[in-house]
Amino acid sequence: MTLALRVLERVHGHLGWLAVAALAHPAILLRDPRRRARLSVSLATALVVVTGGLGATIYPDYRARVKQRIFLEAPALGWMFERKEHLAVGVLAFALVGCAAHLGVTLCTEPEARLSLGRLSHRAFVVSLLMAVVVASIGVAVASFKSF
Amino acid sequence: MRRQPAPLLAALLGALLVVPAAYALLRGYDALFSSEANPATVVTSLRIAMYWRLAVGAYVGGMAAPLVYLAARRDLFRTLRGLELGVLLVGALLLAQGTLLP
Repeated sequence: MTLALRVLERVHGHLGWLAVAALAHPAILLRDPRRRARLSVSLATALVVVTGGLGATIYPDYRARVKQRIFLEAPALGWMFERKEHLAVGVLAFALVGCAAHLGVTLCTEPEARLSLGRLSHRAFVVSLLMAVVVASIGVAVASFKSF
Repeated sequence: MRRQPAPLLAALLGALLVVPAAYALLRGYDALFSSEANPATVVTSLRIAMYWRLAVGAYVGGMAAPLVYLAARRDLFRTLRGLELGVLLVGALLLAQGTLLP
């Protein structure tokens, strides 16, 4: 069980950094709100969702086995992990917002609304990317200090 | 009556944006006004606060969706502009809560 959790934690961490790289693509590509990048947007969001789902899967065991030990030995790092949790919610939510806005552009016929959705999608991916960089960095710091 | 897809999309976006906003407000309220046990002294608890906040956020997002839908039916462009601004505001709110009130 411990080995499985340790493996899942490592996979979660690696997927997290891959998600950062994947989110950078739409965040850069969609600067032009007319630009369409459905595959990039879908794959980046899917990677974020899978990473988040994996994190949510191991989170109850983290709370039961690791969290208290981190707070006892390095409280500052424990609070950093709390920050990571909160910002990870943002990474997921903003990636979903960006994806829905981008894929939904085809539902709008008015050019102004399409441009607005394009801008919205770009902003959401930029916010998601910024938070993802912080989340992934904190994740490495905590995981290198204590694991399952 | 046929439902228009663009206002439905705006409602979905509004609901998705409300989730992190509600999450940040709930956590901010907890950090400021409720007395929490020191994490170093608690082994574990049955109630996972993060999941609870997400569930409440999803519920509030579901309540906000019809309001955004009505607003988008009335004026789609203004509603989308509001959502554009909302992305930045919610991002700033969650960033502030996440860094200052963990």
